Amino acid sequence: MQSKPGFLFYAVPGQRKSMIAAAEELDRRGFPFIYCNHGSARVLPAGAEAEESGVVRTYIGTAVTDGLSHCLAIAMRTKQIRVGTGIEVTYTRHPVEMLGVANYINEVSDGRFILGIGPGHNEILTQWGYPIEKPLSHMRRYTEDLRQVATGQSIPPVVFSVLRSKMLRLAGEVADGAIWANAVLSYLPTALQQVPAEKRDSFIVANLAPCYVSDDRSEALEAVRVALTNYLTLTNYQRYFTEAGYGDEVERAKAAIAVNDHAGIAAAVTERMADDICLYGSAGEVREKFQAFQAAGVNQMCVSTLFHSEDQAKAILRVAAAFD
Amino acid sequence: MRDDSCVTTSDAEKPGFILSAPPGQRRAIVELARELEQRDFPHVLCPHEYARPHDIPAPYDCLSLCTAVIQATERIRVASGVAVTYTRHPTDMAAAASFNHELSEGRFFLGLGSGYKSVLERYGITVERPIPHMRRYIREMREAAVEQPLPPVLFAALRGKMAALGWELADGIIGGNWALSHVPQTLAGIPESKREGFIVGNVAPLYLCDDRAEGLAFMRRLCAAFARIPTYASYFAEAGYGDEIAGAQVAFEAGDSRAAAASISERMAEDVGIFGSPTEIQERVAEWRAAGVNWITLSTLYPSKDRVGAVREAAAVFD
Repeated sequence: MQSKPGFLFYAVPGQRKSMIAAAEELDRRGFPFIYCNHGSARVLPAGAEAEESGVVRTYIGTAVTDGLSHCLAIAMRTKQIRVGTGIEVTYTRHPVEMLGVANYINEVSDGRFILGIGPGHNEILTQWGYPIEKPLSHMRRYTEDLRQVATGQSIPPVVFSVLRSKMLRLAGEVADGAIWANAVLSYLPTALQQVPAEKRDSFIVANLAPCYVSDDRSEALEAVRVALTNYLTLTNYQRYFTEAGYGDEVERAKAAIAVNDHAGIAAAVTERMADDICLYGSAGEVREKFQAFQAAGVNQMCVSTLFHSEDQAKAILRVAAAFD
Repeated sequence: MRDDSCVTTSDAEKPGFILSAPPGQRRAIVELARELEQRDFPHVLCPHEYARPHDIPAPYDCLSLCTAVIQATERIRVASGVAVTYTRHPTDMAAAASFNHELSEGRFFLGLGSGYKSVLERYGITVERPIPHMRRYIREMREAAVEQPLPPVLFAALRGKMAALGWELADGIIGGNWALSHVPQTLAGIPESKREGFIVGNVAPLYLCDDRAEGLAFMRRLCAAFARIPTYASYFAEAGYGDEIAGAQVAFEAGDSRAAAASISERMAEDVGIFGSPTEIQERVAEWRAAGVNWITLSTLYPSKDRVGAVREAAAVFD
């Protein structure tokens, strides 16, 4: 079991050097993982209000920041911490290009790299003009192409971004692990039955959970509710949360989305749902939930730090202090 | 717009070098970049290289090498030479370029090109006509760079039309294996009076040797190989070497690579390659500069030597 969590990093323009410095510090302090997001510099309309209010800034949107470059830069400056993409979108890179970068990072990191890939979100990709394929057949083909072009080259562990059972089953078949963003704790044991028994010992089960440390639990609850707002606007998350037992919350969120009521989307997140997905509250409460996710089968537990009006590195190191 | 500091006095003193990083040598190549910086070489160019020329589907990524070199150095300028547009969506290219731009504090140059049709088609990629493709790609990349400043962009250019497009849309152009005598025609679309601050680069193959005949033989083999790449075949025909290319093509068809090399005239080998003694190499580099190439990059192509050693040996010519 991990005694310390991994962290999700965003290569936000203007903060890239400070994030690499934060990675060096996490490495020195013995934190186990950093997953770098293929995030965006601009938020979707659903998140815009939250950003303007200065409560929480999240990054889901139309302009990407490069997670793979961020991984490489961190790998070059660290010694022990494992570095992965959490996740890299398949549609923006041809498999040969993905392999070239992944192979490079794997070598210079002495095997510390994990390639997290996923098909991304339809809502975003269609804004870029992509013809979107069906996710399962797309990921199967992409991974086959990736392994095919890797002839003669080493390839790092490949983990799939997953939400629902079918993608997890596919990951169990063709990948080395699975990574959730916002996994539902109570649903994990059921979900993980999709992983073949013979693979379970070595299979990477990673989760990136929203995290907000504050002794004021109601402030923290509000912060994680807003963080979940963006995800509730995405169809694949609506389906996942419904499958995991939060259909009522999703229906209330959909009703709020229909009338462009951003506050209503956040309000649709019940405390039970927030408790089941997020790490929030006092340092002790956050540590307790961190252990609970591991007990449910997550072997690479990472936190996605929500930040007030402070920079990302500072927010991450503040959360890290809860685990020192 | 164009930044005059893109071309500095150090470019007039020493050339840059191609640094490629095949598997197993990646950390060593980064160390070499650090050494070149300490020896005051002005730039390194990282190519999007293939494991066997045009014959294997897995490339070595040039933007990753740029990132790694940037992380390990402080002053030397680092360019991709060149990143292929077709394998990354413009949003992804913008993100990676912006990342390197920020980390390098302005030392990174994004060399961009549309690659080789023959290679890309093996990946199942549908290739457009180069000029409209590059025009569209650069527009989409700049549109995608929301809140992300981009580095200077250099277009890979062989012929005059792409060079002129680079003049119109980019901050410079970068050629590979140009013919020295043909440089004026390539640059014809770029007003000479306005070239200050505009990067005109060429990657020239280098072969350092005491025996000039050995260097000539090497360059003949290299030039003959261009006959198999349609883009280069057209370029060299335009540059006045149509007979050489046609002869090499016929020889290759017959499976005779020795005859293909023999088809290459000494004039062509000398016009494309830089070879011979240290003094001859220095003189030749000066001739390239006089022709208007303000970013000269040397590619060490010694087939029998290790890459690090070859660059070190060539760099010593300019110490």
